[in-house]
Amino acid sequence: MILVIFGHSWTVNRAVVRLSVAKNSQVVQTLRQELNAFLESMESGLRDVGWMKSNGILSSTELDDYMAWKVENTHFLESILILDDQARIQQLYPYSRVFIGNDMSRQPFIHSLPHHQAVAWSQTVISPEDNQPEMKAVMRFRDFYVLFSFDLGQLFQPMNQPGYDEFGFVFLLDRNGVFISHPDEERVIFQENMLSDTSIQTFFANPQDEKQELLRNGSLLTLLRVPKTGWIIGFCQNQNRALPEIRFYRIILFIITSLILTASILMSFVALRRVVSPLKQLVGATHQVAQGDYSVSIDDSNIREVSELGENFRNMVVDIFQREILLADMNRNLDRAVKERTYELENSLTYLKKSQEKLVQTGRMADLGEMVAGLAHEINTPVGISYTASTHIADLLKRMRKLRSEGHIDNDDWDEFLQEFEGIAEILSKALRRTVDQVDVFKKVSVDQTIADKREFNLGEYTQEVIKILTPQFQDKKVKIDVECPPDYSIHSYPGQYGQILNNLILNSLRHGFTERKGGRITIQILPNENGVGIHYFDDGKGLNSEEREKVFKPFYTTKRSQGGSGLGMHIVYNLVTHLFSGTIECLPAEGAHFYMYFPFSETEVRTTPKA
Amino acid sequence: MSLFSCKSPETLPIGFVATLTGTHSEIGLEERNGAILAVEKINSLGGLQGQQVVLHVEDDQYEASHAQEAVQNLIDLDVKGVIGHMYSAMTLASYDMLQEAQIVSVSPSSSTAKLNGIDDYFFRIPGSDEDGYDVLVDYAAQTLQLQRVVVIYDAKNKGFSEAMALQVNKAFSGLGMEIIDPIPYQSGALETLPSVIDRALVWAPEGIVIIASDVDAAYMSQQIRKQNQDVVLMAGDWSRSMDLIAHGGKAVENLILFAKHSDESSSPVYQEFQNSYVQRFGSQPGFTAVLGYEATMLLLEGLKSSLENGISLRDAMAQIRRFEGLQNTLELNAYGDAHRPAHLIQVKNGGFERLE
Repeated sequence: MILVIFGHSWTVNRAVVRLSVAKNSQVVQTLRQELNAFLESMESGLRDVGWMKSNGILSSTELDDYMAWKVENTHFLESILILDDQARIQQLYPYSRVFIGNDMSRQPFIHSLPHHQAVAWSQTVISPEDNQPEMKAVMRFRDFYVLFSFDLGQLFQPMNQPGYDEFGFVFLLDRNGVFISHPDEERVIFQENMLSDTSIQTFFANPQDEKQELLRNGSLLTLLRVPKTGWIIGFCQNQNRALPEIRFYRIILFIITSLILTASILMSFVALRRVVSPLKQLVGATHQVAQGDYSVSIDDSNIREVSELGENFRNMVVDIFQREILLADMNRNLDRAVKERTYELENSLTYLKKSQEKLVQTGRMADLGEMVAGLAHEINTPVGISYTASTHIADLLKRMRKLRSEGHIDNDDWDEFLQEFEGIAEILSKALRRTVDQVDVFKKVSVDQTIADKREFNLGEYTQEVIKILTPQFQDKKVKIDVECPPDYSIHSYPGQYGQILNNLILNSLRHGFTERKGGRITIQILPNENGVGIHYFDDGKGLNSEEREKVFKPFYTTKRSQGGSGLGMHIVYNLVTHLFSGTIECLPAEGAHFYMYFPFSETEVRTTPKA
Repeated sequence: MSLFSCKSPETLPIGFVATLTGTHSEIGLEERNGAILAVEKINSLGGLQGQQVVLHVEDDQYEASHAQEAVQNLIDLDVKGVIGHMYSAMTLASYDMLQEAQIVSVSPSSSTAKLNGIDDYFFRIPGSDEDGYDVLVDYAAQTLQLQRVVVIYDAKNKGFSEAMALQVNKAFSGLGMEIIDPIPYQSGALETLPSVIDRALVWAPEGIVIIASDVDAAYMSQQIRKQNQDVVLMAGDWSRSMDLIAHGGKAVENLILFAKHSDESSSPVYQEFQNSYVQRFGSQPGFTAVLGYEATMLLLEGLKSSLENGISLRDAMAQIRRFEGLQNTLELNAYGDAHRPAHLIQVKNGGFERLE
């Protein structure tokens, strides 16, 4: 509001000043036109008199009459003088004996007249008779001069009525800055001037400047030069006088603005109350509805929008209530359905879990079975040999008992018996030795496979051992397995599980990679670093497509289900790598199969066996 | 009076009174301009003791009654001092009022002998005209060898001009010349001028001394020259102005006057004054402007001394015996009357020339 009022009064002030400038400018321009017209009429008057005289149209008496007529009928014209070629007064109206013959040649304005028909304007003087400023204009003819003397005091008087200073006033300065006309006659009579102001001094000193506007002591002065006489027309607009008016308008403005503002605040307040109280009721109702109480009542408002809002709210409450009932029904049904489904799903899940465990178990058993089969194959021969040997011993012993009962045992028989027995014992010993060895290996592997036992082992050697156990399964297929591992590299970890991982990978290669051809090559690259060990497993089999790569670790995923694949081998691998070893495994796109595993080890798990 | 007067509470009011209207106003207006210039100069330098000087201007209209009215106005305004009047008749008219009110006045141009040698509140700087007329009389009698001279004087400024006319006659008689009673002329009564001149020329004088203002002297000269080309015209300092020449035309050519001041001075102080005057008033200063300026400066110097020393203005003024004028140093006697040496000048080719 303050801004509005401030802005308004600033605008009013500016507008007043701007209007004053424009108005003053117009006033002085108009006055100059009038003044120029007046001066021109004087000039033409001079020319008329000169023409009458020079053409001898009129006799001296007639000229006197003409001059009298001219003075009487020309505004402001006081007297007409005719000077001879020496600038002595020859004839004048009004007549004065004293002046006839007076020499005026040394009046500066006459003195300086340059040529025939030129006009000169005198300085203004205060007439001793009537204390009014007077001026003379003189025109030179071939052998005489015509001189008008005219009164300037009344020139602008009509402009400056009493009370002039309320609105501004006009004044006229001669070329020396002295007042020729001013509503305060004393200024004219006492020939005061305006050159006390340096700006006005400068304006006077620069005749090329036509116009000047000045603000002085709250007065706006507009000065305009009259080139013909060097006079200055001035208009003084007293801004201080205008100030009460501005102040009055400002107060009116302030009151109006204040009234409007107060009224609008009151009206806003009333309107707000009329809007706010039903809204408050509505808000209360929403709380009620929120708490489940639908028995709300909304008063009607005479504001259409608010009334509509209330009506809509009531409708909304009814709708909500109906929907809530519906929803409660649906919820009850849904709850039941969800419970039923949940039960079903839980059952399925339990079943699935059990199946998964069973299958994993089956997988493991199958793996174990394969190993046992391998082992059986390995020890079959020595056990068979041992059996044969023991049978041979039994036969030999039977033969010796018969000979002893027959009493036909001689030294040669004993020698032969002993020699043969020694041979059998050696064979037996060798076979059993081999069996023991095989069982040892099996025990070692099988124990590691079933018990998560952490121990220190040489990774390269252990890898070779696992391969050795599996050899019976692939040696007829001409599969070659290369292991690249730095020697003397030991880790403290779970060898059995590591073995199972390798076992499953190799079996996978054999069962899936190399099925359609004879032979194949598997490369195992073991690349230890500071924090763990990375293992690349490659085969040059038929490889996996992208879908297979994506699903290879999922449980029960197999391409050989019809051939008895459990679909859990790679899942087990995945579980072991990720859970037991906290590592990662991925199947990378390659010509054959390419798995990359990384086993992060804590520092204590890494042992580099010192070289012997 | 001033269009943009700005009154501050700390002001020193002083008065100015002179003839500002009518035939004799030219000199008064010039004196007033000189006074304005002096006041504005002092104010621009910070005033007196930090107080701005305010000049109240009054017009005595060359009438005794108006002179008294004007002075009463100034007394009512409680002015500290007054500059004026310019004419002796006016000075004499208000003299008692100012003495009674104990207000110091400094006249720029009153040179009536009636106030010589009085210890009063009246001071003046024009210097006595008596010396000037003595010089003029000497020249007329000794150099020009004139035998018969008529004096015409302005009866309106009787206090001064009649005394001067009598003194001139006395001087002429002292030199053994023929004495004719001075002929009075009432200033402004133009219609009587021809008969006044006739009365003078009836004596067939070899010389006429005019004791009148510039324009009156010009019109008299015009009137004389219409009838007589030979009579030597003489006048006093009072008649000296450019208006004398403008209105006198060729009739005043060769007129001889005495002057107490020169219009041309090379002193830097005067040059500065002249420049400021032209800038401020748009015209060249005449010698009366110099007088107005000097009278005001003298009053302000007294006022300053009075404020500084806590003494009365009259006492302060009385202590000033030497005063630096614009053209020369003025010496004031114990009665506050300045002395100025007079010299002779002559109108030549529309200007004044010094007569050696």
